[in-house]
Amino acid sequence: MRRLKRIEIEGFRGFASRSEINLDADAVLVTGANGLGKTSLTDALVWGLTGALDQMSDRHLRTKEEYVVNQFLHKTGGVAEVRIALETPDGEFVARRKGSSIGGSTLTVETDSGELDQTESEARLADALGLSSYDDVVTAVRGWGVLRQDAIRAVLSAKPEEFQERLRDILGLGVLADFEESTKRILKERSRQAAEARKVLELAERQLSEAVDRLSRAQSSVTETIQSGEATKAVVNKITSTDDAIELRVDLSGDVEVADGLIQNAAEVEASLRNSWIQINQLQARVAATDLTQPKVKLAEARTRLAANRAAASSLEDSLKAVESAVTALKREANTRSQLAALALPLLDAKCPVCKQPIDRDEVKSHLDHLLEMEEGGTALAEATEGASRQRESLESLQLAVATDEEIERAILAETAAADQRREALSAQSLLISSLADQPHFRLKLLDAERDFGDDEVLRTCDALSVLAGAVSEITRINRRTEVASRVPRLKQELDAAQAKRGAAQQSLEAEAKLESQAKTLADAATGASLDVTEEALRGIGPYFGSVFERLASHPTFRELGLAHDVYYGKAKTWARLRDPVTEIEVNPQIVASEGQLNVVAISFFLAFAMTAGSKSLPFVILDDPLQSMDDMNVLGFADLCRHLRDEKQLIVTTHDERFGALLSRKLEPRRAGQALGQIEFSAWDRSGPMFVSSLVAP
Amino acid sequence: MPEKRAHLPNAIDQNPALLEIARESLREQGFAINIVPLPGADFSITTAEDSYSVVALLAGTDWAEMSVPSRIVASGFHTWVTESELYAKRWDAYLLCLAEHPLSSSDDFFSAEEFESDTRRVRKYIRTGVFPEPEPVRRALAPFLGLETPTSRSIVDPLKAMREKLRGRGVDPEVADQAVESFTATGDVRLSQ
Repeated sequence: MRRLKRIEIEGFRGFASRSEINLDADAVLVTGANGLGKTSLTDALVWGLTGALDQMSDRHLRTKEEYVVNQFLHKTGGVAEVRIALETPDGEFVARRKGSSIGGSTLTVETDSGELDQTESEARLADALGLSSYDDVVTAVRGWGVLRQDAIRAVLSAKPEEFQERLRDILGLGVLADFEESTKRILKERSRQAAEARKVLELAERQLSEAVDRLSRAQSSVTETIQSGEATKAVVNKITSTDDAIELRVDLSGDVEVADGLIQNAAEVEASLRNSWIQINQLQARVAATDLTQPKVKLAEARTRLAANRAAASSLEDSLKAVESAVTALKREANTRSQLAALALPLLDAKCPVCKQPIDRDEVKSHLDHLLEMEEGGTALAEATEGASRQRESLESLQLAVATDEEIERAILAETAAADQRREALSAQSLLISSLADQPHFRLKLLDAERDFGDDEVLRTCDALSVLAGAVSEITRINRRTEVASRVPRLKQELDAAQAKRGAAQQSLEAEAKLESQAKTLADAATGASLDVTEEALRGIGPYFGSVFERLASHPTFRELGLAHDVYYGKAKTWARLRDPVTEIEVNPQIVASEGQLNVVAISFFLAFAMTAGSKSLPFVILDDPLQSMDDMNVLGFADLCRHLRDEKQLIVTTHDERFGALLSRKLEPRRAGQALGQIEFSAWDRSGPMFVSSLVAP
Repeated sequence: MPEKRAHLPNAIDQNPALLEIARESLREQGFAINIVPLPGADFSITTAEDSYSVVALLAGTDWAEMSVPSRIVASGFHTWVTESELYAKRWDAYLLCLAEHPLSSSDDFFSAEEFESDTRRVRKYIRTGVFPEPEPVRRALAPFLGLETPTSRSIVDPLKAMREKLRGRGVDPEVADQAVESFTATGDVRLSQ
């Protein structure tokens, strides 16, 4: 027999100071008004066993808000501590959890040899509860260990796939979900490999097609090689034929690269020849049009004038300098006299020393200025100035004439130089044509050595070179076809290899496609098969949902509770169903049931989970204020149900309702050997924690 | 003047088969079965008692015919419990009315609901549409029976069951075997040629 025996709480939520509560009875009834600590007690059990309070983390608290440690203690840096004592077949087992929501917590089990570490403590706790692992402890406590008000409706509100998942957990069928996932993974992998095999086959088919094409083209060129020798001879004959003016001989070694070079060389020579021919014709025309007789005469005349004008200009420049010097001296003298007059004027007395008449200075000044002007406007200075001016004009005219003649001279010289250049170019082109006689692969020869290489010869040579280039190109093409034909055996081998490769790729694809098909069939079937297994397992426990519901009998017509299963979009889903046994109609409880009836449905599922959890079953079930919108009939039925529950598991019930508490107190009175009823009545609460009274009723 | 005795129509006992099955079911669950004379009446009723409760059984064919007599039995049964050594169980006295036919008229629904919701004196359970077979009767007796828990799982080896279901859904047996075996060994499904 396993059950909760005792809990010690300190610094946890509503419990500031240390409290010890006796739970050593097959039924424990916890009563008291709201806010006095009942939920803190059940929370302490949950936190002590799992280290978490899911309903607190669901309340969107700020990350750093502490919700485990008592708030008064938290302010002074304290931590929460809960010790849970269990009765087990091996005796008493005690586990201690210590910590906070912010800093985390540690679970410790004390043994005779000392404290165990976290991992070992968790394993021992699971064993003490009769479970396989600590993960099972957490799953069981969270899933069907404690019935809470908020958890009640969550059962019904759960999505069909979540409901299915919870049922699978209870039935130990979680491995089926893993299997399903694995079949999906293998299908994905097989599909990927089949796609790769298809790509490989496509590539092999493309390569095969190219090999077929190459071989086909090579084989078609074979028929032409038979006549290639005769064709080449005919072409060579054509090249080496001569006309009456020129002879063109070609050296063909049969090498394709040499032939390419020959074509290019001939084409270049031809282009160069034609270009030279054009330039020669142009130069000849211009040279013919150039007559330098008159320009030479003009040049001589210009040079004669230049010599005379330069001499005259030089003489005139000297004369002009002398005249300008004289003008400058005259001007200086006139300026001196003016200054003397200005200096003498203030020295005059107010009266004339001779006639004693008053002297009018203004009149005297005016008279002096007039005399000076007459002097400055004197003939010598004026004539000198005019003479200089005339000489300047003459000099400018001479200089202009010199410049003109110099220009004439330059132009005539330039024309003469250009004519010389044209003659030189004409000579060079002629040499160029002559040099064409000897080329790397062909020779040009003027058959008549007496004739000049004139226009006619140039044009016919160009024509011959053009024929040469065309012929060589023809021979090259023939040689290339021959080369292609020689590759046929190798191309056949390549074709065989491509066919073999394609065959292998085809086989590989067939194998991968088969595996992919198998994987798809498997994945498609896995979900349905998983549901089949789950349904079969649920058929075994389905009646238990109804068994609890029937006891509460909350609906007048839909009196049977069951489950429905199906697969939608590859996911297995499960729904709750109410059934009318008379009409056999099945409905969703959320459609026909009232709030109180829905709570009964939810309690039925919860209790059925707790009762059918098998290897994940806990030795106790905690009902935290289970009454919600229940009428008297439901309450009475539930109270009767609690009697039967205590026969299967340790039952801990909390309630704020005095009537229900009194009813349970009576219903849960021990009536059989081994039964006991623990009663814990929370009466008040202050900063140190709750105040409560414990009692134990035994038969 | 002779003491007036209640006279109940025979309709209450018109379903002995149903009554017998109910009796046996309760006996198997550990209830002590008795035939008790009803105070103030000239007939007896069947009772079943365990450590928690005492139950009076009525079995008929139609609720309409049982409605009136049931009220008389309820009253008489309560009197008998409170005046006997079962006084301590007066809060755990129940009247279970079993009717083979389901409720059909709105009057029947109303009278059944009204009778059942009257929790004074004895707690009443009305179960209609109860065919005289063990399973339907057991379900009707559910409030008085212990909770059944599965003694064993119907599916012991889920993967083995999965293999069979896969074959049933058209998966090649060899493929199904390979998939389950590889998953069991490695945790991953593997398929090979």
